[in-house]
Parts: sequence; structure tokens; C-alpha cells
Amino acid sequence: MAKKKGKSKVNPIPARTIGSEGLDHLTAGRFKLAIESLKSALKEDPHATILRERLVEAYEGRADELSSKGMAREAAVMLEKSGAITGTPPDPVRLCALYLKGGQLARALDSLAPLKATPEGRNVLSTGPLAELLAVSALVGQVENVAPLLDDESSSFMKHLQTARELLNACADGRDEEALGLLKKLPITSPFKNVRVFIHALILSSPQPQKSLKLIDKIEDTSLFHPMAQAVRLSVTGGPSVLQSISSLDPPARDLATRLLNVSPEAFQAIRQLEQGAPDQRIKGLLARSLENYFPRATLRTLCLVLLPHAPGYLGLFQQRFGPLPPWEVHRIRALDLEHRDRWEGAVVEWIKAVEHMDDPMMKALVFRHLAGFKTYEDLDDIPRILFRSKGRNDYSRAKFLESSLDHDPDDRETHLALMGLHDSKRDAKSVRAVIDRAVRAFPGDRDILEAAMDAAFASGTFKKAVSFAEKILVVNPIHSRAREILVEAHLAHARKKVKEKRLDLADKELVVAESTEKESTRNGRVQVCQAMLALLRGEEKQAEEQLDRVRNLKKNSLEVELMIQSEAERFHVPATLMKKIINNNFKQVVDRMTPDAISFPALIRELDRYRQDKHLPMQKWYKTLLPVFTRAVHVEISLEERRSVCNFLLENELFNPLEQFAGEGLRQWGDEPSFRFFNMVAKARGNAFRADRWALRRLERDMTSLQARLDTRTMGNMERFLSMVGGTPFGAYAGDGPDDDDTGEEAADEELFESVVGPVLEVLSEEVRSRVRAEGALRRKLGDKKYEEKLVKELSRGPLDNEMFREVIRRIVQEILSGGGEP
Amino acid sequence: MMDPYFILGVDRGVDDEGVRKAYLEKIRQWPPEHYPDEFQKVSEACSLIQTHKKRLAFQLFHSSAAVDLAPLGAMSGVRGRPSLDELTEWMKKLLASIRLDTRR
Repeated sequence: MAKKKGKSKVNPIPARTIGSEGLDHLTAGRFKLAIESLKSALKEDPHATILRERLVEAYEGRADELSSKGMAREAAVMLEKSGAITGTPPDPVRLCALYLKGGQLARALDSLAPLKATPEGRNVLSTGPLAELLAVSALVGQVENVAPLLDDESSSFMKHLQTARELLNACADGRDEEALGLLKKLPITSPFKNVRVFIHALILSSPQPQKSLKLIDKIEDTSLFHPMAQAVRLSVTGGPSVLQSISSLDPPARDLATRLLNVSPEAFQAIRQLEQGAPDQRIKGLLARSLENYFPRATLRTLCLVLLPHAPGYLGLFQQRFGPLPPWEVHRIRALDLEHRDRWEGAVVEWIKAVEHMDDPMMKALVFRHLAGFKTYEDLDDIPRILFRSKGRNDYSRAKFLESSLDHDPDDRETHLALMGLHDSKRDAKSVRAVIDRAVRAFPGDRDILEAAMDAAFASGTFKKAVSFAEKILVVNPIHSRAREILVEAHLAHARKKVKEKRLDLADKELVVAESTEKESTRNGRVQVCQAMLALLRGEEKQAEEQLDRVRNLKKNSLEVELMIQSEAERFHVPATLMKKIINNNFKQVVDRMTPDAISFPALIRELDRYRQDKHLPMQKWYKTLLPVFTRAVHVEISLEERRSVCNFLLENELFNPLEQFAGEGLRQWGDEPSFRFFNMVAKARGNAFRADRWALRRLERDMTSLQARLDTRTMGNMERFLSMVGGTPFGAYAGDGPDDDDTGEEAADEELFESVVGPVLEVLSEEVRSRVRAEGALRRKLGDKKYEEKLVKELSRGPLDNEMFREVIRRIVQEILSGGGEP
Repeated sequence: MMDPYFILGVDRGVDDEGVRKAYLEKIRQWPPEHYPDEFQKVSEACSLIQTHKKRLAFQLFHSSAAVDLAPLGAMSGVRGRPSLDELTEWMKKLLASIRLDTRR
């Protein structure tokens, strides 16, 4: 030791070195080390002014550092030390803030004393946050420390302090009227003004929430009462997010908010835990016995019931805790659980079981209505049948559910409308008529029902009914354009009938009535075309020609006019020779001139679609004429939906060449869009599923399962029809295991497909050849040789197998086998 | 989904008239011109349980994984008023968080 001491005396570290070390620490923000070094250096050289100044900086830096770490008391000490070195007191407001943070209220107030010495300081003390600080400090029992800081107006401060105390007392005791009276004694200029506003907002929070919120808005962000005011705001506004919002408040304000909402801190903690959990954890939490200490049992039960469909495993525990549930409720919970997991078949079964246990007919009706709304069906009524085929329950369908709903609740207007729409979309005239009759009987004056009934009756061809509904609608709403349109159509239909009966005078009368019924602004020219046809039949060619010219001037789209003329000529049975006299091959000329665009082409398709309903029109002849228009329209930029609609139209009319072009363009524009892939496949196979690639068919089957929610009914229907040619199950995923997950199923399906196509041919062959063909087929299927099978299928699908063809097919099959046919 | 019964402040056994009265009271409390969000919530809640049929449908088909726990936070319907001691204690605590301007 002695040696060490001696050594330190011999080699003391120079003050300059220590000082420079301190300065390095200071620059690097290592304030603690800087303070130690600079203090040591100052001991060696007490007159070094620079070191002294740097030490003050180091103390202040350390104060900030400690304050940011939450060590406010220690920070305040550092600030005091820096003041002692310079001989001048540190910033009083900063020091006060640090003491307040450290919970030393008396010291905080003492530290403000230097402010009293200057007029500027006195001004700071009497306004803003410091004035509020003094007021609140006095309210919480620091009057003695506050008094020295007050200026000459201390008497008014004391007076306001007394009033504020009385105000708090009155508010806490619930003496609201007295409190409201005391509020008036505290002027807006008083440092107690925010106490006044806060208490006022608190008192009004229950009876006058809006006024309370307006008062809360008056409390500035910097005010001590701001967090408390926010607590009052939350308790006033309520709502689902209130508990989360409370969590974000400062602890005192959180206490106030939970107090105002009558939630104990323990209950608040429990709610926060429940909020953070997954559904099953929440239900577990709600079922915990301890929660009954804080919350009413009925509320806990209700919340559990809402959650049970997400965690049905707790059904048993729930019933132990809250007593047994009625059977229908148990099935309801299971059904909702299955719905959440997209297991629609199971959900339907559970709902049906629930209905069987229900007494209330309204509830039953609601469940059936709910079942009818399952998205899985889309609008294909047969899908549920496929769904339940495996269980032998084929009596479930959307229409059936809606009808069952009406049986239990015949006064449900929406269900009537839904059922009407459903039958109408399926063009089921008989059912539409039955539904219309029932709906109109139940709601004779309902405009929506009458409108739906009118449209459905018109679409199903029952014109008389449609007219009677249209007339009823026009009584209520004389400017109803659709009703007027239907009346006109009905008169035209009568006129055509009369022409057929060769009673041209009566037909003329009908057309006159039709013309007078039609409004000029909505005139489409059809009545005039009909008049022209009638004139032609009477031999008044000139009149007919003039009439048609008027129509041509009226309508912009000349092709639409020509279609109208062609259709009415057919309907009025105008001989071709007569027609030639006046229209002189106009249709073809118009077609040759037409340049289809994004508006006219889809409109033309819609128009043709409407004409298709009339079975007497020579549609095929028209399509032949229109083929150049279709070809020209392939590259017209139309929306995906419109292109799909065109493709559907072309497919339904077996126009495979343009369909292939339209589908190809669709694929080019929208990549691998499954619907265009389907149209392309159908076009290439010329509508014969046997000619289509088997793997493409399988992919189509998969597409249909995944696309059912976003594809339109028409495309889905066409897909289903195409698949049904090969006995495909459109919803393989529902009917059994999905083709992706079950190879055995797929192989069996392939074999079935092979047998259905090749089987009848093989029957006529000898047993030996037959078994060779089957073995070869199985082997090639295994090897993935599609082309072998395709060749067979292609040969077989050429047409009806007459004797000659049959022999040829056998010859080809045998040749294929013997030559090791197909392409591996 | 928010609990419409909680928003309207009615119990589960409420009838049509009860819903109507609660709705009118709430829209007086939250007029749309001043409180559009609150008004919308009240209107939506009312539309969910306005009639017997709608209440039955809500009872049958409503289930929510994100169950709204707000009803737990305000079940008694009676607001608690803090005592003087509590008010004083909170003010003391708040003094520690007062934001003072250090510039003089």
C-alpha cells in the first residue's frame, strides 16, 4: 500500500489530462464520467473557468438523462448542483417540473420562489399552467407552500380556493344543484377555472351528455384536467371501443373513467384480459366462476351464447354453468359453427333439426329463409339436390326452403318477392303463376309485389295477367314506364293474333291503342314497324315504306331497326315477296356497313338474346347473316362480364367459330380466366363434351367448385350442362372427396369415363380383344398417355354408329392396339 | 359487431315500443347534425332489433368471434360519482404529469 501511495505521489496525473478526458466524455454524452473527471480536474486546478463551465454542462446533461429515465428526484439534485457551481439558481420551472415528477410537491413549489423576484416571473406565476398548478396544489393541501408565491391578489385566490373546495364537496356528495350554484362564483379568469369546467362536465355527463362534451372541449391540452376530461368524455360517449380507449388513459384518468362506468379495477382488468384472447379463450374466461363477482350472470350468459358458435366445445361447460339449453338452441349453435367452417351440408342438417324442436312459427320461417340464402346454392336450384344426394335427401332446394318459410310466415313480403324472382329466373311458368297468385292475394296493393308479379307474368307469357298488374300499377303511378311498356306489348301481341285470324281491322285498332298508350319520349319504333307490316298486308306499300323510314330516322342503330323489321315481318306473317318490295335486302346491307363498337355490339347481343325467347323467329338464318359482324367484333374492347355474356350467347346458339375467337381474345386479355378457358374448350370440342380433353373437363369440374361464388348463373349453368354430357358431377368436392386429395377416386372416375365411351364398342369384340383393349387402356392411363384415349373418343364421337361406321371404329381400335398406338 | 341492445340501452326482453322509445331518446341525445357517428350507430342498432322478427333473427343468427365486451363495462346503468378523497388523490397524481413550459 505504502509503495502504491508513494508511487501516486511520484507520478500524479496532470489536471490538464484529467480535464481533457472529462471534455471527451462530455462530447460523447457520457455525463456521469464527465462529471467525475471534471470534478477531479477542478480539485487540482480550482480556477479553471472552462472546466467549471463544462461541469455545469455535464450536470445539466446528466439531469436530462436521469429525467428521461424516470429518475426525476436525482435529476433535480443534478440541476441544484449545477446552480451551486455557477452561484445562480437553476431554471425554476424546469426544477419545479422535475420535483413534481418525483412527487415532491412542497419542494416543487419552493423551487418557484425565484420567479417572485421579477415582474416577468410574477406574470408567469399568475397565468397558464403554473397558475393552475398553484390552484390545484392549494386544493390538495399545500396552501402554506403556495401562499408565498401569490401576488397582491392573494385574497381573491383564497376566496376562490374556498369556493372550489365547497364545489368539490358538493359534487362528491351528489349535491348537484348546490354545485351548479357554486360554479357561478368561480369566474373564468380564476386559476380554478378548469376545476370549474371539469366539475361542471362531470355533473352534466349523465343528464346532458352533449353539453358535457362541449364543456370538455373547452379544457386545453396543456391543462392538468385534460386527461380527467377525456375520462369523462369516454364515459359519456360509451360504445364498443370505450374499454380499449380507457386503457390508453393515464392511471388517474383511467381510475376516474372506470369509476364513472361503475367498473371495478378488478373487473376492468378481467375485461382487458378477455379482450386480448381468441374466441375459445374468451369463452373460457367468461365461463370462469370468479367473473360473477363483478358482472351480472345474465350478461355473462348472453356474451357466452354469442361466442359459443365459435367454440362449441364449451357447450357442455356452458350448460353446467348456466343450466341446460333448449334442444333447438344446441342445434342452432352447432349449425352456426358449421357455417363458420363452410360446411354447408352439415349446417343445413343442424338447422333442420333445430326447426324440428322449435315451437315459434316465426322462428321456423326465419331459419328456412336463412337456409334459402346460403351462398353455396347461388341460383342453381339443383345444387342442393346434388349436395344431399349422398344422404338420399333430395327434397332440399332454395325454392323449397322459401316455400317452407312462407308456410310458417305467409305475411313475409320479402320471401314472396324472393320466391317469385327465383322461379322467374328459372323460367318456371307454372310455379311463377302459383307464387304470383299467392303474393298478390297477400299484398294486393303492394307496388313492389305488383311490379314483380307483372314482370314475372310477362316473362312467363301470361299476358292477360301482366296487363292486369300493369293497369293496377298505373293507377298508383301513372308514369310507370315499365307498366306502360307491358301494356303496349300486350296490345301488339293482340294485334299479331288478330292478323293471324285475318282480322286486319281489329289488328289496326289494337295498334292504334298501342300507339296512344306509348309515351312519345319512350317510343322505340316497334308499334310503327307493326303498323308498316299491317299496311303492307293491306297492299299499302307506300304507306308502309314511309312508316319504316320514320322508324329508321327515330332509331340510331340501324341494325336494331332491321332486326325489328325482320322480327315483325315474321310475326305478322308477311310474305317474303311483299317484304322484298319494300326492304330490298336491307338487312344484309346494314350488316355489311356495321362497324361494331363497345356499346353497339353488347346491345346487339342483348337484343338477339331477347328475340331468342320467340321460338318462331328464324334465328339461325339471322346468325348466318350476322356472322361478319361477330367476326368484326372479336377485338372490340368490352368488359370481362360483357365478353362472358357474348360467349354464353354464342355457346347457347352453337356458334362455335366466333365463340372460339371470342374466348381466345378473352384469354389473351384476362390471362388464364377459367370461364374463357371453358368457352375455348367447348368451342374446340364443338359443344360435344366427349370431344373435349378429359383432363380439361376435370379442371373445369374443379373450377366450378371454386368459382361458384363469383361466376354468374348463366355461365355456371352452361358449364354444368356441358359436364353433364359426360355424366360429370359438377361439385365433385361436395359429392365425395376432392379429386386432388384422392388418387384412387380419380382413377376410378377415369376408368368410368373410359368405360362409358369405349364400353359399348368393346361389347361386340371377342373376349380376348376386349380384355386387351381394357388392359392397354389401363396401362396407358397409368402412363398418362392421354392421346390414345382421345383418339378412341374422337372416333366414337364422330356421329351415330351405323354398321359401317362401327366396323371402321373397331378396325381403328384394333389397329391402334396392334401397332402399339397412341403416343407415350 | 356492436351489441344493439347495449347501444340503445334496452334489455333483451324489450318490445317494439321499447325500442322505439329508446331510439327516440338516443337520437335526441345524439342529434345527427352534431354527432353523425353516434347517430349512425344508434340507427344501425335500431334497424337490427326494431321489430319482433328482427329481434328473433338477431337472436338466431348473430354470433361474433370479436364479441363486444362493452356491455360488461356499463351494466348497472348508474354512474358512479367519485368521492372527495378520490378526486383529491387523482389531482395529486395528475400534478406529477403536468406539462410545464420551461421557457420563461
